[in-house]
Amino acid sequence: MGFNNIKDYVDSAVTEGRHWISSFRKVPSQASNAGFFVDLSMAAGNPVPNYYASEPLVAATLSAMKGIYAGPDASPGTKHLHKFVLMSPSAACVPSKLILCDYLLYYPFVDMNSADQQLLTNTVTLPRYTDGSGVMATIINASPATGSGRFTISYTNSAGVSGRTSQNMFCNTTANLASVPIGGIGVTGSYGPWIGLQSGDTGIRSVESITFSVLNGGLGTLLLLKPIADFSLREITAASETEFISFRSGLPKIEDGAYLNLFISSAGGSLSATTIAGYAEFIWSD
Amino acid sequence: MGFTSQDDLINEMTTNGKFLRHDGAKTTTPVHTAGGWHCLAGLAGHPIASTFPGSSLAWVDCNESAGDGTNVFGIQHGGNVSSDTKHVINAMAMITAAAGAPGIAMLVDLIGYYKLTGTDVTGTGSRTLTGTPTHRYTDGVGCRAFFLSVTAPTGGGPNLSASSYTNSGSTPGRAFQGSPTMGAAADAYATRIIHSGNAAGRFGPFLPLQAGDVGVKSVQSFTFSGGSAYTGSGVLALCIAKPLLAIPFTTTGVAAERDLVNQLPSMPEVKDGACLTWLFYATGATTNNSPFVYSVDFAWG
Repeated sequence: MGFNNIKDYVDSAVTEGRHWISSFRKVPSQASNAGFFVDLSMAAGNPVPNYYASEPLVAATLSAMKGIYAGPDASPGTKHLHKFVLMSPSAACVPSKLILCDYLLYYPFVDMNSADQQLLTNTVTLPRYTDGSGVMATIINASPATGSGRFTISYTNSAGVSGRTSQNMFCNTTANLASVPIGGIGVTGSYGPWIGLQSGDTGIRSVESITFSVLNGGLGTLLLLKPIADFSLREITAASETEFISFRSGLPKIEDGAYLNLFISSAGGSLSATTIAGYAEFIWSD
Repeated sequence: MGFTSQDDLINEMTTNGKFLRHDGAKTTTPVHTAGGWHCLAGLAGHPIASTFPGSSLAWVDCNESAGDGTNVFGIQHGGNVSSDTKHVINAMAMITAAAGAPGIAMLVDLIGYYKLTGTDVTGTGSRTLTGTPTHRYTDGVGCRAFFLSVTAPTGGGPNLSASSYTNSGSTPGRAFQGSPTMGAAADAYATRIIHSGNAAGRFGPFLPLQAGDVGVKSVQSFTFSGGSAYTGSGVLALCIAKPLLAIPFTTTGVAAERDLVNQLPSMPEVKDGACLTWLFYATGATTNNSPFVYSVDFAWG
């Protein structure tokens, strides 16, 4: 499990065939606001768009085959992200920040126009990172929204303690489908794209309910995810290449069955009709 | 075998002359649809195009000196060097085309292919493949498979509903995963890897392997069913290839260069007899007759 040294790592990839490369190309059709995060899994292109279409408020998972495909399962070895390359010919896509995430579990069709405590059903549990350590939560506009809402979630943390309450999350004014209504530039109480946890917590194991104290309008998808790595795309004339031995240490681990996709925040403008493309290389140990 | 140091590399290349640069160009055709992978082996240019000769369902070995047995279509890299080993030390790729960039160029060693014609393309039953690949990588370690369009079908777009391959551990009965969907006629033009693209069930450039596998030794059978069957007189090739390197390029008319010694230490090995060709990922609808220009530097020691 893992690699002992550079030679071991290279042997896996070169000599022993334990490597995989997958391309991706996303062309969002949805408008977005500069400086706000967008869920690229919902964009057209490859991988196929993800619509979070399943039973409302019931936890569900996504198939690894429908995300950025990371190759066959590696167990008993471990799989790691070796290289990640991003390109875009679209001026609106740069400069941007992208976060590669393993989408673990989602609760669809949260009514962001309801002040009721919306109870969530957890018949499905986290398929990876099962204790919730490092698992973050976010919410994504599944329909156009009004914005400016506020909400909290009640969750079980990574220590297994239930009844934890998130920070009071302020929604931004973005009304766009596939946008993340929390975080963003110039937004009061912005914590970035992830829901702020109760003090002392480092991860989420499950979410029990969500309550809007100020209505936001629209429908949302509550998503539990594990951030894997972040990247910057600075210009359209040069690919952003990150290689996780020479350029950056860490060799992020990719769990078997991971559904991988990207969040993006661009300062360049609306991502509608832009192209974000690239490829990922994975390598695994014996 | 290989190089023990930078000094050794420099000595081999300069003192001993173990260096070769290959320049080439291909002209794309027809117009690409965005988001697909393509194999440039069948394109006119330098080297010449492969016509993928052979009998339907039968394996055809490819190598440097003989190409596909009719057309010497692989990038010539100086012949066999054993007991030395040969490595790629620099590579450059560029395309000049509206919507040609950004894109990805991938250099592969094409081990060979199973040609598919007639009812072996249009049929919906299981197809049994014949012949044994002559591998340059132990039993196919690191080798991948892909379906390539040589001549476009008239219509249809089936799914790969079943398959059986032998992995690099010589275990038979393995299956490609994910039920890949094959492109309809608009995405199955010549040179297109027909299971790549933007629709559901598309994987590119290679067919997903079964869990635990690290390579494809040979393919025994496959079934195209579901979706809609191909029609017409299309010709496909089920190829087995070993990826060696990938170069991203962002701007049409601007060369993307990769130093494989100092920039990203990899120096992929080029086996004796390797039949090198390019795969090309088009993020846009690359226009017809676009020149793809490249160079590859080899050194051995």
